[in-house]
Amino acid sequence: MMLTLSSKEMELVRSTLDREPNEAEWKVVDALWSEHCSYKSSKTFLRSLPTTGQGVIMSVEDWQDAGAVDVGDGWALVLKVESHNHPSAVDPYNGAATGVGGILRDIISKGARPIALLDMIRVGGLDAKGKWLLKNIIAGIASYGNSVGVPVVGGELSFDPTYTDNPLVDVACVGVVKASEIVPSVVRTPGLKLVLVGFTGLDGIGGASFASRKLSGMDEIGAVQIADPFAGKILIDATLEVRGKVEAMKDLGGGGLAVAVTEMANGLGARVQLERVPLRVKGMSPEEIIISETQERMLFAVKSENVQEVCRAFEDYNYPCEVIGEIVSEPRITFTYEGKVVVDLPSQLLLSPPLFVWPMNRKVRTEEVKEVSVREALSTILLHPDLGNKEWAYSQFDYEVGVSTLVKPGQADSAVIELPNGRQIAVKGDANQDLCEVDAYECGKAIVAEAFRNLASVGARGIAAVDHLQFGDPRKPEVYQDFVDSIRGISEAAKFFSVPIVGGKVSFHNEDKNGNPIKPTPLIVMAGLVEGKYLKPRVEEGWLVLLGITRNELRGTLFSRLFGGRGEVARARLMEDLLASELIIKAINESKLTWNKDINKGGLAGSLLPILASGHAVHINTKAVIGTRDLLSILFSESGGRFLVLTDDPHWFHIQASRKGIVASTIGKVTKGKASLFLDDVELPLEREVERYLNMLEEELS
Amino acid sequence: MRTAVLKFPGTTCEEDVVKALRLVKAEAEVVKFNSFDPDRYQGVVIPGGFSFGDYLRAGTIAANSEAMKGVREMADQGKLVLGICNGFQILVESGILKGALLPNLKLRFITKWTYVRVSRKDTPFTRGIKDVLLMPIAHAEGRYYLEDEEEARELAVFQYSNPSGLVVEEVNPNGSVQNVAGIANQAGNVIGLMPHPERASFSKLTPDGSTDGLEILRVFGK
Amino acid sequence: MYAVELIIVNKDGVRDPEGETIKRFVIEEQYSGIIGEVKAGKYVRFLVEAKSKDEAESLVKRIAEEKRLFNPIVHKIIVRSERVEDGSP
Repeated sequence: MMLTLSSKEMELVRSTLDREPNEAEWKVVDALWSEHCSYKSSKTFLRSLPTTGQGVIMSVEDWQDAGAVDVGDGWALVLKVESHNHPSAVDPYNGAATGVGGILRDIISKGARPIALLDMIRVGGLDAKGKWLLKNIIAGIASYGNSVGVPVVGGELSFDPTYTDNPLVDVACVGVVKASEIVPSVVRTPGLKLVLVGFTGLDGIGGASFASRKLSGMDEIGAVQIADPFAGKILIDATLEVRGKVEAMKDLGGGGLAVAVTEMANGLGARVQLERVPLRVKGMSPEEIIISETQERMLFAVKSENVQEVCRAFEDYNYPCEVIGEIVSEPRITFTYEGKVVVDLPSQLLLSPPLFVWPMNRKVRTEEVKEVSVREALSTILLHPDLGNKEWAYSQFDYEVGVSTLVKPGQADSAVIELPNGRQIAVKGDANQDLCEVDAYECGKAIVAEAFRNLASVGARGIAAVDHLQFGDPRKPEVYQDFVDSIRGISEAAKFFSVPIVGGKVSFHNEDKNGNPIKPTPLIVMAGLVEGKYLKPRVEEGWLVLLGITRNELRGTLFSRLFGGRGEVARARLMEDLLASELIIKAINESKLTWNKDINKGGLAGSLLPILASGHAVHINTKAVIGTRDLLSILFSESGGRFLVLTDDPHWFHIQASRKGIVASTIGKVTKGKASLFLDDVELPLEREVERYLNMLEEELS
Repeated sequence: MRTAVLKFPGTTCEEDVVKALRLVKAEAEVVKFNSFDPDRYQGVVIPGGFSFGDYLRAGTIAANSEAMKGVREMADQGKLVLGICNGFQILVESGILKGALLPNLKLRFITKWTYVRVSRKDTPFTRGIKDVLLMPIAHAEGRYYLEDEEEARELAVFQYSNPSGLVVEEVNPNGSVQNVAGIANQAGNVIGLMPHPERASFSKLTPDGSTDGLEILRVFGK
Repeated sequence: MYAVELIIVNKDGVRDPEGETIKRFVIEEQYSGIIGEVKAGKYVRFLVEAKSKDEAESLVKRIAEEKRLFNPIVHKIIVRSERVEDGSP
């Protein structure tokens, strides 16, 4: 029997029960107490995240699957992010596809209709392995998202050797539901029938424990799951049809029935008759039925009188639906098989795993500095695939389905989607492994600030976020320190911007095959409401205004990933982010700009690519850049709080900025013409770089 | 016109189509595949999506369904039948329209805004319509194939073109013969196309503010 | 010359939703009880210059493994061949 429980944990179970649990019971405890389900190594610190605030309807503390926030007229927005890293490493197509399926079920299990997906992908590089991973990951996401009719509206793509063995595949989903119709995931009264829909099979047995262990290679086959988007679509349609007839619902994820039943009972008890579970394969043992993680299943708590109606919706699609047990008042979780007791454990034991605070230690960071000329750095950065045009990926997604994608993927830094009440939201996901590697605390703040700026760039103000914290083995003190620091940073920034963190996930044990942790990669997905007008950016001739201060901060940047760190670590000065974002929103509403971009990966130079690629030349007067005289910093610093703006009224920005307490400077202009950067009147031809920017992924991956 | 928007398991665009049809004042409703009564409707739209997961071949499992017998009846009676994307695939798989829709030459799903020339104006859907329409495609299996290219050109109602309506190979997104984006039957009452008119029906969603999709859907409002 | 057929299907125990759907929605209406499992897969045919059937098949196996024509985590392969004169099936 393979368990992830420590000997101390096992001792605690024995002493609480005053007996030796049987094999099935051990497996149930193992699933419930797995890191994946219990957050035992992270919960202490997750509690410091600001989870409440104006507009929050449902947050993580409620033990729910996804958070919800008010978006007006009685509508709520439901938001969730999750990764499928380990399954995607061994089977990128199915791993990524089942990740999409899982996140969709998290949204529908609140009764919400999913309206948009985001995907944030990180692989090692554009070598043979990276290409194989990326092609299959994108195809897997496309296959599932397209088949169920939910548009993928944006994401991130990053290439960094730290992810060679352990790619990161994060998917986020937003859904909408009338606030009064949100379905809880826990029950409050005994007597409700437990109804399971979907077949249970052998696939994915032990997945929760799989996610809580590091990858050890080929012996992980049992945890591979095959995506069935068609079944997923039936599940979405039928679940949303019956949402008004169920008292609680929960999707079956890590830990299968064991976890879903226990968490739904939420301290009450449940009795489940395993022989009633519809099986896909014959001869499954009772233990296998309990912990199977077969996809495309849901658990409902239903009043007896509604069971028939609920099941009819599924039977209409030839989809199995069975009463498998009921909620009882005695706080015990009992699984029986043909009358024999298989598992009988107290609810409280299962829901109260011991929490851990692991030792922490500061990692000593050294960075080798490589000499590089400005011209060479410019070429190398502009040719980096992290900055490349992502049309190759987006064109594989059905991003127009739903007739609500107003600002399409790739068109701006955030997508804009229309809600059923006529308002618009913007969504964006951001991570920054370069900065997190040198300073996880500043990085935690910076990714929240970046997401906030990204939303502002299309006219939206952040209202809620979810986080996904991806790290190595928490038992390693350096990893754990980074983990804690990044949460502190995220908490502070979220509090500062009044953007509550309404949900989140933690993924540990992301390591390469030699046991080295990945660069810390916490990720933020933020949603914002458009305040007035939204922006569909377009590049035209005009003046370039830079908002904010450019500092000599080249450490923890794309530049330092390639050429080593110089200067200081980019620190998040949240007030600058807030004020600059407010100014951008105002400018959009007063039609003072045609295009803007927050400055991030690749610095000012990186943000010029979309301009250069649209048949324009850029002229920059470096003396006009406020904050540093160092040319490398001017071009590549990733200092926060900055936006590059294209306008025909630079004066307006100067006045408004000084009124707000930030700086704006006209640093150049954009003219029609071939792709060249005129740096203080010296022409640097960039046609080759721009050509590559546009076609890199298509050329490498077609 | 009373119009059924047919939903198979796996159909994804039924609500979008209904939303667009309401703009042209059609009396449209979503009808599930297992409760479709063709006699109640003057027109039917088979919307896009992935009916039965597009397993085996796009559209082929739906083509075998009872509901498609009803659609064939309507087609034979001269009622209006429109298949969009997966709907077009279902119409060719069921033999109501000629030809086949093969995997795109690039062997992957492609979303793209495309111009199409209206090559036949003798159908109720295209009578008096503009010459060139802007609509998005979104499919993995949209390469129209018919052995007899001459016949394909005769049946073609929409052909991928440049913005001025010139049918040239460079703009062919998927390798269709004769750049075919959509065809009709001889009579013209049954039409199938890969681009999505319902996604080109709302000016805020289109690249240039046009609403060319409504031109095709308008007939259901009569 | 040998015509070598490479058939890629999901391993036993790994689900095959495509095969399941074909069985459930197309076949079972009419042929219930007669048809057992239905599996969908991929078929690739190679014409191979080789001295023996064994040599031809092991070459294709090697290509399939080296070039990742299948994912060993999920799929199994069936390789079979027959001698042909001019390469026509």
